[in-house]
Amino acid sequence: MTIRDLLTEHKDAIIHKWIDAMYGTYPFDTVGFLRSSRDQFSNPVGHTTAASAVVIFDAVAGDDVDEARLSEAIEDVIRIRAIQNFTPEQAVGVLFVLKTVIRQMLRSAIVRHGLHDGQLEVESRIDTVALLAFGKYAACRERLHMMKVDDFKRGYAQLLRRAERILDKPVGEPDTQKPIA
Amino acid sequence: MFISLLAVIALGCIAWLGAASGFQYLIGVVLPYAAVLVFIGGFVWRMVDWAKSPVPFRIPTTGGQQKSLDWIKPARLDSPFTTAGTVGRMLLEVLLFRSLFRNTSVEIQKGPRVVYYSAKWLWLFALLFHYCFLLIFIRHFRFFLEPVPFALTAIEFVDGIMQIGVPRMFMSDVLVVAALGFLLARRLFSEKVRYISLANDYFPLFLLLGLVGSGIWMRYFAKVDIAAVKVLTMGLVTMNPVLPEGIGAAFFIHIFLLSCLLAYFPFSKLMHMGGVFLSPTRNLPNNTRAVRHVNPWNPPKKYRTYAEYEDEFRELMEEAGLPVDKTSEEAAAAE
Amino acid sequence: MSKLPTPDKLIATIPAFPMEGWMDTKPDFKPGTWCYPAKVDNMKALGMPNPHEWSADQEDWNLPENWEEIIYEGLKARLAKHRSLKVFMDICVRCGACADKCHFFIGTGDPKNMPVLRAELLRSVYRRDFTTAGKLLGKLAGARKLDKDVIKEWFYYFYQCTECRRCSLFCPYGIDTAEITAIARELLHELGLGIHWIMEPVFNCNRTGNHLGIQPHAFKEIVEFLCEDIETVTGIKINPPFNEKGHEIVFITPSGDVFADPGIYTFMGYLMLFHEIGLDYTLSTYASEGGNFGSFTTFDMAKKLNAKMYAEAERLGSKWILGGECGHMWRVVHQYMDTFNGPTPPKMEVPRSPITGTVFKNAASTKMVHIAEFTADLIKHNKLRLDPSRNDHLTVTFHDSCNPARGMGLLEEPRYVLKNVCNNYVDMPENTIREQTFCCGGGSGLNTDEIMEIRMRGGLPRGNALRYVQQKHGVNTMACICAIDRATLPPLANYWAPGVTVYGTHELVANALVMRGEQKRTMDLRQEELPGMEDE
Repeated sequence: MTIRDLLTEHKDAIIHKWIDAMYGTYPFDTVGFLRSSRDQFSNPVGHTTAASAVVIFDAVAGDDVDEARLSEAIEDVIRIRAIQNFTPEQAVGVLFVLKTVIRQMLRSAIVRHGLHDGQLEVESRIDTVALLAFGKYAACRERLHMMKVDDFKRGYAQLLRRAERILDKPVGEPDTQKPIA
Repeated sequence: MFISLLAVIALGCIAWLGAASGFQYLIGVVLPYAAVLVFIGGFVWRMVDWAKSPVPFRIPTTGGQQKSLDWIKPARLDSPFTTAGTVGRMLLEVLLFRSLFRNTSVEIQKGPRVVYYSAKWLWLFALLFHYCFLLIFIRHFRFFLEPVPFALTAIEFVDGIMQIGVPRMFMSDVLVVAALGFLLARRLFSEKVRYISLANDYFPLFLLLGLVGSGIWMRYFAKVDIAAVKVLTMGLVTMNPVLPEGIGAAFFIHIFLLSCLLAYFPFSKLMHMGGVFLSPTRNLPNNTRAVRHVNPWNPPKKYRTYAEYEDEFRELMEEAGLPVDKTSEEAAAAE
Repeated sequence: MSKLPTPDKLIATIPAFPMEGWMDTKPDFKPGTWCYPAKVDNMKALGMPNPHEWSADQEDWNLPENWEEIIYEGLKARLAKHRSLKVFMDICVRCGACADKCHFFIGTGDPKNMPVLRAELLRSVYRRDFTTAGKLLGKLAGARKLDKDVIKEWFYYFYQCTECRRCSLFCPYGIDTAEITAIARELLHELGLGIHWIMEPVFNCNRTGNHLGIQPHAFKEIVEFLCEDIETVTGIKINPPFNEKGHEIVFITPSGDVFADPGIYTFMGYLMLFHEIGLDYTLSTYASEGGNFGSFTTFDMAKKLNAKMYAEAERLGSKWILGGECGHMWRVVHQYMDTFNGPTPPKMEVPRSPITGTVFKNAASTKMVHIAEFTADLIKHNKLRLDPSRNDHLTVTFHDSCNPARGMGLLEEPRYVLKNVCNNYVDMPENTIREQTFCCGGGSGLNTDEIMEIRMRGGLPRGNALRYVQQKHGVNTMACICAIDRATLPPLANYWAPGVTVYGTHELVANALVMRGEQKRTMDLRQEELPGMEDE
């Protein structure tokens, strides 16, 4: 018996509980909505969370992972949480909750089979996933701010062009960078 | 929720006590007359009040392709261009709850199992409730008509075709309770619906359950003296009320709750029965570009005219070679 | 000093079940959730009532002294003017069918974004003041006292509704939240509460004819830049007429298409199309705005801005008006314009395509035709030479804008056009398009960048459907027929489905359009190389 066997055995239950914990961070009524309707289009949050949880769990359990796929799964979860009503800790913190869920559910089995080393490895992998999630979160927020800038640029594209023609230099560039004639 | 339940129980108790302590004439004759008057008066008043209010704009919610080019097939019912289409849309809406049915439309699923079931059930049970209630309402005409028309007997025969029990069990009785139960259960167990529900959402449900329950109790269990009841009801419709002896308390509870429902109806959300016909997003054709809609209170036009615009920008416009109505010289000369 | 919380505790700080009902919860005006207030000067210049300084994150919004009376009288007046409001206030049974139809509810999970609760925010006040049950039973009958927190709540949630009408489609009584939101916003404006992103364009549009406040000479100059670009791409020089009298048609489109990326390419597309078919038209600088942000403030303001269209058609002696791609503009034109400002000037005629001879009977009274109807008719009659293979590197899907979809029914025309100018066309899943389309998250004047987070939440359902076709069918292009979409969809795609580019429908038309006397096309309108058509 390895930790991986143990995790595989309890995979569905752990994922279920973890998803519940994630949904628990949504205010009240949403919870019922997210759980009851799994349609990909009428309930994208619920669908995305459930689909990603499986991929992340497999990676954490120690399966060989397709890094691109894992990265995408983490990003799917974080991308939604990054713009919802969460603090950064709350947005990324859901990944650490997987540790708690595993500890709660497998404590006695781990003790019984002496799998503490394995558990530590699993928890380290969760740390890795959380670090990746941190990166995703930062990237999402950065993109959000870039989007505001881009919105402005697009909105005024032709005005900027006109201004540049009148000024005969690129708008927004510091004067010092002006090529010396 | 509890307040609504208590209110309905209290109403039932009042009726029971009243029937037991000699207020039978009040409950069996006076109140029904009063309730019917309030119902008719209230209903008409509400409808007239709504109908009198103006419809400034023609704003149908279009549920399909508009009528535009000849070779593009329009959605004649979901986006009606003609009056006939609009009537069709309203019929679908009123008779078949078209918009609620829409909820069942296609979903692409990746997740493990069924979804969106609540919406589909809502349509089904809502429809079931309304039609059973209508059927029960029609069946009750046997108490107001003498002789009982053949059509009514036929309806009763079909309704009781399962031939269970004596007297025959009507399917509509069972289904209406089931439908009300579903509508109530939704409010109690769907978090979403519970969150939005008010006391005045629960009250009519409990009232209807009480009404239907007392009716069922009367027919199948208490087995009140039907002949005596008919004497009373015929008296009521012929404006010659009599109060025969020996009608059980169950009947008085039933008719009291009915009176409450009738009196409550015009002042509650139950008025959706009338309101649905007046909803401007449904009962108007989608032809506003073809036929002008007139706003009865259309305010006078007030806008910045071209002349004002040109006055402000004339020189810039001339400089840019844009045509002007008045040149600078003309404008200067006019001043 | 205290012990650090565990992750579970940390993420659980949002209560899973607020025990109190919705009447007792208050919105939290965090940055990114509310729009900046309108400038006092703009409000004054437009004659809006009670202009004053305020900000949503402040405790005191400096409401006028008699604000309660203003709301009471305002609501009373509107109940007398709109049957819709009156009926919608009375007949909701709270069945919940609308609840999960709202893109803002799906994206935020906030219960008050369920359309039924959004309407209850107003309804609760209506019940207290205008129904007997509400007066007698108060909270028990769903009534509540109007206090300043209610006003704040209105502001928060009626500016988290894009008036898309998706809920109205599913409501068994057709209760239209757009109508309720529009009237609630009117009430807020009575108190001097407007937002900058809406009021500034309204002010500009009134004064200069367009949202950005571009004066006539600059407008002309910018259009001429675009003509230079057209010449670069096609070798054809176009000189569009401005403010000229005696042309058959006035063409009016949202000004965003003249100033903003990627709308400018759509605008170039219009000019190329008109040039190719030899249309007898003119542009107008006075009526250089198809959009109508007035419709996001009050009905009267919508009317005031819209009045310019007929006035200009009359002054220029044009027979009919051709309208460009826009969402709310077409809600106004299709359902309000004729009522607001009709009957049309006497010299206008029922629109008839000068190229195909088709008479647009569906626009017989308003006398304004949608460019998608016009172009679809051209293509049907084989009047355009098209080379759709120029768009072969694009796999295209189409975003139905809410207003043309649910306030007009313009569904097939743009699809017909797109399928004729692109070889690779895929629709998004069925319950996210046509009359069931999801909002871009920025309609009804909410496309401002200070609420980018709210926009992304609201845009989640659309983004999600887009991502699905991106992954499943390799879609890399989302076409639309709305200038606000062209502003809001690029960030939405960038966030939810990176790699998808947003195009106006007539940009794709112009890419495929084979023009007489054009040079070999090696680039598209964005001056990006066309794969397979490079110079040898």
